[in-house]
Amino acid sequence: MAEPLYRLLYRSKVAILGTTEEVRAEVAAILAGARRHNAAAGLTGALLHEGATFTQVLEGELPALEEAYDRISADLRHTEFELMQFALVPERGFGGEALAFLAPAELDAAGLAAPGDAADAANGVLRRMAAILGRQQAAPG
Amino acid sequence: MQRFYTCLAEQHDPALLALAVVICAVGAHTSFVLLRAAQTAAARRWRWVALTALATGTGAWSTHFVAMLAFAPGLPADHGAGLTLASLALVVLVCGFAFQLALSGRGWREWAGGVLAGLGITAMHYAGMAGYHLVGVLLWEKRLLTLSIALGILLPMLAVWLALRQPRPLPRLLAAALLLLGICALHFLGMAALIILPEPGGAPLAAAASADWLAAAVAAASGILLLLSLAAAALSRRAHRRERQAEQKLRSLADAAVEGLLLCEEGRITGSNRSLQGLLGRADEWFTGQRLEALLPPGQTLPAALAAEGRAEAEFLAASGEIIPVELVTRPLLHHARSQQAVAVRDLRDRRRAEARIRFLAQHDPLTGLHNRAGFGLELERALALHGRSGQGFALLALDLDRFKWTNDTMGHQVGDALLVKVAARLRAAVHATDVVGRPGGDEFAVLQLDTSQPEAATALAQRCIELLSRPFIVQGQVLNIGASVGIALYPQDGTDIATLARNADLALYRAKSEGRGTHRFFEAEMDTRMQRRRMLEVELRSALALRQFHLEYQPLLGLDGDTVTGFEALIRWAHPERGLISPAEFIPLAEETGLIIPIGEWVLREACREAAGWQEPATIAVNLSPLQVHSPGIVEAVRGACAAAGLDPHRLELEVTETALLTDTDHSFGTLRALKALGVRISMDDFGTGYSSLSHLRRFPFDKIKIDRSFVADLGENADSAAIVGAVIVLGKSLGMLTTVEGVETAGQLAHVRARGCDQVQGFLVGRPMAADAARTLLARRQAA
Ligand SMILES: Cc1cc2nc3c(=O)[nH]c(=O)nc-3n(C[C@H](O)[C@H](O)[C@H](O)COP(=O)(O)O)c2cc1C
Repeated sequence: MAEPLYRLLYRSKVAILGTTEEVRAEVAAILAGARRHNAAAGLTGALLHEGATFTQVLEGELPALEEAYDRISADLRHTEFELMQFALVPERGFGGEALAFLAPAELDAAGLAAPGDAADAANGVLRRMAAILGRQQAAPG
Repeated sequence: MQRFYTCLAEQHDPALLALAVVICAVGAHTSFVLLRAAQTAAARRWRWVALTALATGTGAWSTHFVAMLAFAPGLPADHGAGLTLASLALVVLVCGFAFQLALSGRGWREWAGGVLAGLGITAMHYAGMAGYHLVGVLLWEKRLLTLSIALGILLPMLAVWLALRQPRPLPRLLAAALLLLGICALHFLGMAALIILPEPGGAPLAAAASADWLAAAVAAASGILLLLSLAAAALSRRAHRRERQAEQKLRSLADAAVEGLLLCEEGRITGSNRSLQGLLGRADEWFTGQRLEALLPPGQTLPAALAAEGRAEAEFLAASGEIIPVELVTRPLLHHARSQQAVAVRDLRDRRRAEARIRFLAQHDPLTGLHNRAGFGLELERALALHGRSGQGFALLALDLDRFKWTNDTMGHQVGDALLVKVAARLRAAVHATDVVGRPGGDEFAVLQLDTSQPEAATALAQRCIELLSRPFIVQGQVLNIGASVGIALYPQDGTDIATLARNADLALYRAKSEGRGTHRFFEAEMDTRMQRRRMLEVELRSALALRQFHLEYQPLLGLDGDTVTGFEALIRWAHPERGLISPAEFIPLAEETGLIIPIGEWVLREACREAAGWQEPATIAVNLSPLQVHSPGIVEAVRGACAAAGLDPHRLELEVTETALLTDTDHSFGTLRALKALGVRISMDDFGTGYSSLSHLRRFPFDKIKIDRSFVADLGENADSAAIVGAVIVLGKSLGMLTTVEGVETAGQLAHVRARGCDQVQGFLVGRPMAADAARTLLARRQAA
């Protein structure tokens, strides 16, 4: 009997001070720690770092997800934290990696405007992240 | 030496000589076995002392006379019987005193006893010699004589001391040897010192006879000695066995003890038990012979109590390097007849841990692990002491969760508690390592910020806290949104003691909360004065009812279909004897907050009903119900009671409630309204359009009347939206079967406007200001007359 799966989606503003290089290094450090934690807790997801914005989707069973959320939501390296979705899902949509890192080469307009109500916005963001992930996997390196 | 050798080898019979030495050895050993028995005897020690003296005496005496029998100077000789026997008595008696003395205490008594025993033996020898007669002249060589006496005293003295001090079998043998040596030295040096000048014409003595009785006496004495010796041997074995048993018993007892035990003597360890060995992780052998200091960590000194008697706390160093806090209880102990100390060693680690735990529990909140009120107070005191001295500043932040109570009430305590734990974690993330976070109680938190760059640091911290707590929480799978307000007081400018700082931080917090929440405020002196006025008002408000300082005024309502005054709204007034009229806008919120609104509201109800009962029918009376009143359990009864007491038909009473009253505990509130309506009372929705204006409220309850807020009327002229809203509400009311009243009508233009829209009633200065009761009565009477 599988435990119910939950998905968490949030958006936040990067609050890391420093040069582009330093920010990149800090994000790499976050990523490394997050992957270690997530792998141990059976969580999967993706982190999109785009300009000054983080968008993260994280999926897994409730206690582990809640625990990870407790840490992420207490992190001062991002602000203007906006929880876009927290819901039961039938299956993982980002089950491939403990935390895939998405860094699109150019900003595309779809990332900025998300019209419609909250659920539509969340679904739009999720679709876009899945698309970027697919594109990255198709183009190795 | 030459003389001594000649004396031994040529003038003595070797067989008898050997016998003399054997007797002496037996006597010496027997003496010390018995002496040991005397030393350890618990009672009737003198008997053992007497036996010891007998053994020593007969041993020495027999040695002397057997040796004399072995002595063959080549001249006839004789021993005077009297002196011979007297010398035996002498040596036994003196030795008896000597041993009694030696056993009576340590130090000089032991030495003196030994000397006395030596003296007794020496005296016996020379008394015997005094009874020695032979044909010739006896001369003494002084040097050898002196040496004989000196050794005859010194060696026994040493022997006695050794026997008393070292009661084990081996040293005892050594002591016996010393005594043997002493007696032999005394005797044979004495004999060597003897120069016999033969006397040519001397009469021959009855040598044979003399030798016979002496031999018999010596045989008897030796027999006694032999018996004593056998007895002593048996005794010694028994004593030894007993000692071993006792020792074993003691050891198993000591090993069974939970506490560590140490035996020590003069600063050195002589024994340890298993507990202690286990505690320090060292073997039994390690302890024996160590100085007590070896137990301590390097550089520490022994507590004074350890040396004597008493109780002390110390630290011991275990083999592992761990430093173990211990309590030491020292007692003096007589062991092997030597005074030692027994030291009980109690491991204090558990107690220390328990103490630390108790201290932690007393100072921390078990739920979040943050400092509780007491612990936070201690931290504040420490900061005050530290910074008071250095003159540096710090900040005290008082933090209150918004909407926590609601969460706790609707989601349950478990969720509330889990939420508090998460709040604590976020606050820990918000502060720096030097800051202290506390939870004085409930949903109050506090942060002590030890940062000197104020107020910038406190501002940043407050913003961090507010930002972090405004992020949604996920608790047991549910998303919860709370928030926080922060009040800040700075040391030293906002207070130099804890009470003042805490109060001022709370005042600032109060301000932050009343100015919209989710924000922070620094303390300002003006808050204090306002708060003081508030507090004073509160005190006076409590007595205002009893002092009859309230009265009602009545504002007329105009019915638009017949342009007649259809009734009045009762408005409370507080005429303060010193401050004059106090605005309801000031004291009603205070009454609401303190709960005083309940008795005050009830008074208003009764007074208004009483007054209205005197009016001509069908004039109505409208009374405001505050949210707290709506929620209070006694409200239906209070309304029924007011009508009944006044004799007022409930149909003439209108109760006005605002939407705020319906926001919390909505189901219950509607239940109350239905019960009121069942009394026949009419219910109006007051101030409609200002608050939430939820249409669902209108749908859920059949209000009799909607009162449109005055703010819409005020800009009817300029604002098309306002006009549209007023019109729409009137239409809405009509379609729901509710009357509409427009408040705040001040101009004829406004009146014309709302009349055109189909409004039922108006209220405002144009119709009439609030007036005294008799004025209202007059107005009604005029209407009737008209
Ligand atoms: C944008 C962002 C995303 C993060 N994602 C995760 C994550 O998916 N899993 C995780 O364990 N930590 C994540 N973290 C890090 C946590 O906030 C936190 O710093 C970390 O779990 C603490 O781990 P540590 O105790 O090993 O340092 C994220 C942090 C940021 C700023």
